[in-house]
Amino acid sequence: MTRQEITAFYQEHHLRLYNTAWRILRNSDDAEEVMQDTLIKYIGRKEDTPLTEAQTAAWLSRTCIRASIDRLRERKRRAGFMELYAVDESEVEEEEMPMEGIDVARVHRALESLEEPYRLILNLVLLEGLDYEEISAFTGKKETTLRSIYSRGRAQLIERLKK
Amino acid sequence: MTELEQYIRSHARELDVREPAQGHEERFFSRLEEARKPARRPWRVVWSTVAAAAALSALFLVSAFRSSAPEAIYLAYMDQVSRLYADCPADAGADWDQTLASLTEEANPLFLQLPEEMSRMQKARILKQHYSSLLEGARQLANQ
Repeated sequence: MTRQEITAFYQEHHLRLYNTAWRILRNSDDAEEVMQDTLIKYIGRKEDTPLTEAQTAAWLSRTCIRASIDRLRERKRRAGFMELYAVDESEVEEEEMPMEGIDVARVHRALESLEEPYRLILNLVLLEGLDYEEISAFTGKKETTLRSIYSRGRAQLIERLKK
Repeated sequence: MTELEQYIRSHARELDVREPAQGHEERFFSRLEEARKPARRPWRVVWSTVAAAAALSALFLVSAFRSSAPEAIYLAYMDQVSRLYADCPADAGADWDQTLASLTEEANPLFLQLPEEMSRMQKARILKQHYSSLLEGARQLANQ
């Protein structure tokens, strides 16, 4: 890749990856580092087969999420990362939310206001498009637990949006 | 999936509202440049094996090759090799670096392998010969 190609590649992907990392890590220095590590790792790939645009975006996204979760886990090791997930495993019933008068900014604020682990899991499911199996592989937590966290997070999100 | 979930998914990219701090692109390129430099890890590993002796390096480096202390001779050799790396022209490329590394690096330094019963004078003589010849080769490479 020439410098010009790298610049274009960076411009195309940095914002999405930075936001992905930031939503998990909540720290701009860490998010920038993970975003850049991800791009450097991609540029240094040795595989012969070039990836399509969609495959590249998916590779970058998964690598960034994995690195962010690893860093979060490292950061919270002493506090007991997995204890965050020690919640009741029952699911909360799905509730419809009237969408009149709801805009992106309001949803954004509501998502940001959620507590962990709800915010992390809702972000991974809704914004990053991961399924429970993938999140389970990243976090090491059972899918049933993740479903429970998600349904409780969704209920909390609706509460926040109703306010 | 509820209407709310669908709404969030379809607007996901609009929630990418944060931007990295100013200068991020320059920081990226300097990190990329750093990542592309040839790794010199084995060299650092060698250093770590003589960490204790390294603490004494400042005392020995100047007159080391006239010394009969094996550690001092080894450290003086390392110092000379480091200078060759430092003097390496910027456009020399990874090949040059690798050739120098293969010529000068020792996974298990000779001075640690010499038998204990050998006198320090004997060890010093062997080390001087061995490292002088390695350095001579490295210098010839550098002058090409």
